[in-house]
Amino acid sequence: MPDHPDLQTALKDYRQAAGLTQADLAAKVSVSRKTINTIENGVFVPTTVLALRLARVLSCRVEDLFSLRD
Amino acid sequence: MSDQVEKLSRKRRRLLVVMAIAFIVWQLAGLQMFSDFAGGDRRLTSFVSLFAFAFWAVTLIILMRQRGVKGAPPEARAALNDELVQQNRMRAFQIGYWVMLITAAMVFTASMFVRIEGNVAAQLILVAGVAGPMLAFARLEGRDA
Repeated sequence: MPDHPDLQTALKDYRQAAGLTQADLAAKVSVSRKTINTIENGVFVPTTVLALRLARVLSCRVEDLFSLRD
Repeated sequence: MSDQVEKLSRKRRRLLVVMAIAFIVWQLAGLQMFSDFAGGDRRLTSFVSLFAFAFWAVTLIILMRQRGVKGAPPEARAALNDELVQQNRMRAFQIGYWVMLITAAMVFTASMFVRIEGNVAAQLILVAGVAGPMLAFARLEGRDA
């Protein structure tokens, strides 16, 4: 069950575009693969710090990765 | 590293479940009311209680010494205590709070029909308060694994 149903994420798209697996991305931001999986599935909403780290690794903005549903 | 993190995470989950069960058995087998259920054989319940205590103590030492991550690189240690784990830990304590309240309500209700000593009631609530969060954390950590 998602924590915030209004939040949608494009993390999976950006990760795949960068040619990274969940495990690769997890290692780059020092979290577990499960954490990346739960973020992609909308089950877990990361803190601002982790969101910024993800954006830095994927060379995009946080707003590109996370947005509110219309 | 991901495989190692998942392996250590699984190990921690299993250790917590084993510890919770051992704690429950240790505490409940020591109660007189369970001796009565076991046909009044106090020696049997005492032995079970002692064995469960020894088992629980050993798993506690393992968990405290290694914290489930002995020998793991710093990145793996960080991943084993990341934001999701911290959130699961917080939720497990919240669940434990409700488990304690429900147990207290059940004990209170049961005390209207059967005689329950104060120390027994306290012990039952304590068991729920300790084992509840441990099992809840293991369950939450097992999600999406």
